[in-house]
Amino acid sequence: MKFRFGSPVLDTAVRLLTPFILLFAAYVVAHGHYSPGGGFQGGVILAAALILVNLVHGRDVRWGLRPSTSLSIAAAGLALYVGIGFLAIAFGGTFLDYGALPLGLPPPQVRAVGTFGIEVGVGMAVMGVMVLLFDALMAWEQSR
Amino acid sequence: MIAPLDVFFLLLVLVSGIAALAARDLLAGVIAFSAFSLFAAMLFASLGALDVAFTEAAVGAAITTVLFVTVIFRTERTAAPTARRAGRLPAAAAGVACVVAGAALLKGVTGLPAVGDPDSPSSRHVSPRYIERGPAETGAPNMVTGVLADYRGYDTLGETVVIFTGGLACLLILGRTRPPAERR
Amino acid sequence: MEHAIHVLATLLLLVGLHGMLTRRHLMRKLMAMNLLQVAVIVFFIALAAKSGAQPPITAVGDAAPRAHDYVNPLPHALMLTAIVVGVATNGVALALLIRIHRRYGTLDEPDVILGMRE
Repeated sequence: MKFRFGSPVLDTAVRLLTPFILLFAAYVVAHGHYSPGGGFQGGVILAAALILVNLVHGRDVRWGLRPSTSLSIAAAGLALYVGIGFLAIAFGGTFLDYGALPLGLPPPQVRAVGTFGIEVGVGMAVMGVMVLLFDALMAWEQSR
Repeated sequence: MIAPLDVFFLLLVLVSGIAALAARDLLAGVIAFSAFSLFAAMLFASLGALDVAFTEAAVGAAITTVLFVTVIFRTERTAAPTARRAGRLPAAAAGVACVVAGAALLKGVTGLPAVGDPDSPSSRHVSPRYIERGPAETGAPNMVTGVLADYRGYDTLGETVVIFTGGLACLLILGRTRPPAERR
Repeated sequence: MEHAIHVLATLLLLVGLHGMLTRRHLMRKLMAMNLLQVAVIVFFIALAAKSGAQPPITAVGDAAPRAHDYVNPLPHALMLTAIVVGVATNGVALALLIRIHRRYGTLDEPDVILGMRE
């Protein structure tokens, strides 16, 4: 069963929409401190953009993510999260104590920077896992 | 007092949830499920939970629906029963169990503090500290982000690990994704 | 009625429970499990709500917030975790459904049980 639609309407709509979706996802992750949003929501929207392209163009789309790549991104996000925790230990604090990072800013700002790093890690992990789930469920069909 | 808008949204959630379970065609059920998720997001937003509404709309109405539709087109589209092998007893027993559980839950629910009570026990102890000193201590005007990533950072780490494990488990259950001819 | 949201959330939970117990098709059971999850989340969010309060987001130049003016943010954070973990659960359950269908050819629970006994 072919699931590449190829209709010009879908193709054009996806080409127009995808950059804005990606930009909005980056905005949601970065602006999570000041408005509703943060790592989870941004990661899910990022995954939705990639799934959209994958749905319309099929699996051989040129800039899609292979399952190994999305798994690596998910693992990198998790490693970023744990890495920031251990970095806090290396600078004399306890695990995940962002106040111990030597950034030379007033304490709330240091914690805000640590939180932002964590949110990016969570966003990467969530995005990787969602794209991985979709790829795994779709790909099983093609291997029959 | 909580506005009747919330009760209206919750009634919509109930109706679309029942429609999702009762639809004969599974695809229609999944679309009703997507509407259910969207109405739930509207309910959360009207109750003041903006982050939860955002996540529910993005996750429930988008990702979960796409995953369900993928599996439907992969397996089967209707749920026509082949023969009535299940007897009357299981349905009656399930009904009795639900009635008993429902009576117990409703009896307990009416003893809770009223919805919207600012002095309820869940709004004391730790929560006023998170509200009053959260934005100043964590540097995040969004208090939910402050609680999630700063005060309760361990829980978020555990949850990220759970999500990663779920993705790994899905890969392991389904096996390799290369076609069998290439596996050598 | 001051407990309307609690009662309706309990009804939604019972609909989900009844669906999981009585529906024969495995995907219907999975959807009923999602109904259960959303019912629990509605219940938690209703616990966090305060009448006359605004959502838990301050503006950058605001004065110190008072606890009575803002909705309780702690259950929101817990429910965010619950929703995202629920997606992972759905993904694993759907992978299991695909394997079951591949192995037994059907997703109807009595037929699957018959196939397992052979």
